[in-house]
Amino acid sequence: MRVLARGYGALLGAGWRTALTYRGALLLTALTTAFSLVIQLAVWQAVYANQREIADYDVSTMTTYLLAGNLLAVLLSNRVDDTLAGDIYRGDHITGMLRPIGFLGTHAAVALPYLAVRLLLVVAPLLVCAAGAFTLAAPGLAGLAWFVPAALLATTLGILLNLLVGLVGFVTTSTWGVRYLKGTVVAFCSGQLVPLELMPDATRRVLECLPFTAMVATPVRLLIGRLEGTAAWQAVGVQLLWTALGLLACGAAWRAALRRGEVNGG
Amino acid sequence: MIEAHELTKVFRMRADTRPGLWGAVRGLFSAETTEVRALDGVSFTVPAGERTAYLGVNGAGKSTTIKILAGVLTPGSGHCRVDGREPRADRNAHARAIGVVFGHRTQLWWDLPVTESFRILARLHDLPPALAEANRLLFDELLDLGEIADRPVRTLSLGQRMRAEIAAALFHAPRVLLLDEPTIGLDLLLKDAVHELVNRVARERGTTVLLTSHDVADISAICERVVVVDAGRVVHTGYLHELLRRAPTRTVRLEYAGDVDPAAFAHHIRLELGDPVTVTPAGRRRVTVQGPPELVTPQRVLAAVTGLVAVTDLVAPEPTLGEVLRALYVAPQPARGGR
Amino acid sequence: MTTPRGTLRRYAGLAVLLTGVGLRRLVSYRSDFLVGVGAFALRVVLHALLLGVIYRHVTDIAGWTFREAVLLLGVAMLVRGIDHAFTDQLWELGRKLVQRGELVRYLVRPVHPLFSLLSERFCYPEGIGEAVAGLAVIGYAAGGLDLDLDPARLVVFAVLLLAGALVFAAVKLLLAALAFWTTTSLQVMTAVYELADTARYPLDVFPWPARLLLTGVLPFALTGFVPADYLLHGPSLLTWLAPLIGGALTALALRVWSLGVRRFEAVGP
Repeated sequence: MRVLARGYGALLGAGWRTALTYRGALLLTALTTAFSLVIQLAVWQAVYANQREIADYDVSTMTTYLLAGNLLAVLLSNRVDDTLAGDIYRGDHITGMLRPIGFLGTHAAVALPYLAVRLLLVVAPLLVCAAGAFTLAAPGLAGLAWFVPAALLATTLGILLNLLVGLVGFVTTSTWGVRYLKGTVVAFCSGQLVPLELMPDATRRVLECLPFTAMVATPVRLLIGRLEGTAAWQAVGVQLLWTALGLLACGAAWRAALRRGEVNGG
Repeated sequence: MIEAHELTKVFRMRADTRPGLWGAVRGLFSAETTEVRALDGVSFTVPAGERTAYLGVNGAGKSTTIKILAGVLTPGSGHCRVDGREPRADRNAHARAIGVVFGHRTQLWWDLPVTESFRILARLHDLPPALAEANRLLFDELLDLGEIADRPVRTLSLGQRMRAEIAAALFHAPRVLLLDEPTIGLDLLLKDAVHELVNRVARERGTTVLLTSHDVADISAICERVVVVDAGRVVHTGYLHELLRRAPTRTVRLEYAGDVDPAAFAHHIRLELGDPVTVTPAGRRRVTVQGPPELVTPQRVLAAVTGLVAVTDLVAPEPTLGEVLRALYVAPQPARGGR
Repeated sequence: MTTPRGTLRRYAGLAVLLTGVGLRRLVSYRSDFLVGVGAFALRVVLHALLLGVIYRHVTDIAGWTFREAVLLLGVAMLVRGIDHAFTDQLWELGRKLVQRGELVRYLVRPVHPLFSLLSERFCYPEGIGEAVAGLAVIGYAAGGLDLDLDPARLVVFAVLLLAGALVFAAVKLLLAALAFWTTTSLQVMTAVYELADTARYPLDVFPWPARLLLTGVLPFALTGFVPADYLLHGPSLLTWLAPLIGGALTALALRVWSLGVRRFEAVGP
């Protein structure tokens, strides 16, 4: 157990240093995220030019929703899919298997410092700037209390989903298409770009059962108090369910991949 | 054909981040760099048609020199000419004149079969169709492409790929071939195959070859001349056989018949031959004599023991290149970052 | 061989050859390719649906109706498709070619390194698919709009499309070339690419600093809004500036690329 902990500790340190190596890129990520936010908010300002409320969202609630959603989405990008698929493409998963700790765990562990750096250097400064620049609907204490665990589950889901996407590298030679597909689906189906309440009811009900809304819409709706009481427990329950399913799916996919590898002679 | 004159190159590298979390945080703001002097005034020439080995330990500046000659790295100072041209003066002309293999970095089209890469290379270099076809047949035979002809390069084994790389570098019949560690990671049989490939094509065409390696086998199999670098400077140039003669020690092994006390016998030989010589009894009725070449010659050893024992066998093996090189690397070898 | 015409003919021949090679390579990765095309198709559908969702609640955004917004979407896709079909390999430059030193491959070939680089993915079918989908979307939107389509107008529109594609390619090259200094710039490229996505909205909705940015600094307005606005509302100042901006940005990008290559050769692959 201690050896295992030390192994992961070493990986965390290495991941942190790697993440810092690209600090220039990190700064630019922050800038472009900020700009993308400004663009989205401007579009919504224009939408709100002729009405006060859409589906119970007034301007400040909508702004808060989009801000939280987009900042959370910054933490959904964790590079795990890229490094994992790269390892598989080069056949490095063989050496990965020789390490004393799980191969998938290794990759997931590398994501943690990466996310920490993003949280510290991208999300936090943007949050401070946005709080100064826009009128936001201040979230309540209950909202914040719900948001933190829900956001943690959301980032976990982000890692699991990217692991699965990376494992596609065993099937296709380039995972670029799958990753792009994933990015598209997550951006549109997670509720990052538009709140679920604006969608037709049937669409909304389907999306609420999918894992993607659990990655953005659920934590954000909890934050702004759109989900309360039973609905809140239900939404977090769905998140937990998807996390469990994601873990199982990663394990199953990895074992299947190993069997495939044995058949092909590694 | 290749002239290097006082080439220098200094790399600046970001200093390693200090260990620990605090070190990593500090790494966020610091921009400390360390200087690594990879080349420190390297000069040498390779005459046309000669195959020369460029030798040195890891980090001695071998790859740096090859990159400068290939035109993908600018020297800090000094200049070089390859096929009568500064590498960076006319990229296209230079690219036609040289073929280059950089160790593990592929220049083939990774997702395509080797034959397809050859087809593209023929067009990129505007080879006349007849020459392209002749080359295709030649390498088809040399690489034994039959079974792997249609497989993407990335599925080939390391040995197959390395030979394909070299074939691709030779495909446009360049006048100069630069090889950077062409056999790294290959087993003995595969190394032989690489040697044969280079020898066959380069010797037939009179290609000038510069090969870096720290593998003695590559050198003795392919090259007749050597340039030895150490710590960014040339420490020796000359023909291989001359270099071998510069061995700092010579060994003579002697087998004899007759009953003598081995220790006393050894002591006697040492006295006869002179001081820095060492004599070690090696098993039953056998001694190994080692020392400076002028003291340890078969004749002198023979003279020293005549009358004491009957000599049944006397062997004076050629010194190995490894022994010679070890003596040439005068400077202590600190860990240097090779690039 | 060294006359400009000879050089041009040589490069054209090579482009045809390498396009064929690229297509054949795709055939061996059919599943990858299909996933890629599917992903693009899905993105189009989802983008249109997103517009639909917003227009469920409003009739116009800054004076743009649903059909007009869809036309803008189609134009943006078409421009992006044209660029995508020819410069997709720049992603590899930003991702790993500098970091792993693999760029040397293009520096020891007897053709211009940038041509050599781009030629690995010439006429990329994903891009062509995107352009065709864009045309289809434009067709759908135009069906419900009363557009004045005389030949002169179409020529100007085509020039604007080309200028937009140049802008896209130049920005991509600039960002990919950042990797020469930062070893990899994939994340920046991805981020800015996302940004290009959101810039498919009418320029009129943005505050002036964003408008300035989208026309003067990262002129993504030229890749969708300007051609679509011309088609819908006729010429404006930006119509005439667009080709100039596109040309200037391309020149700048090429300059940065060659500076980058020089740096790559100085610090060592």
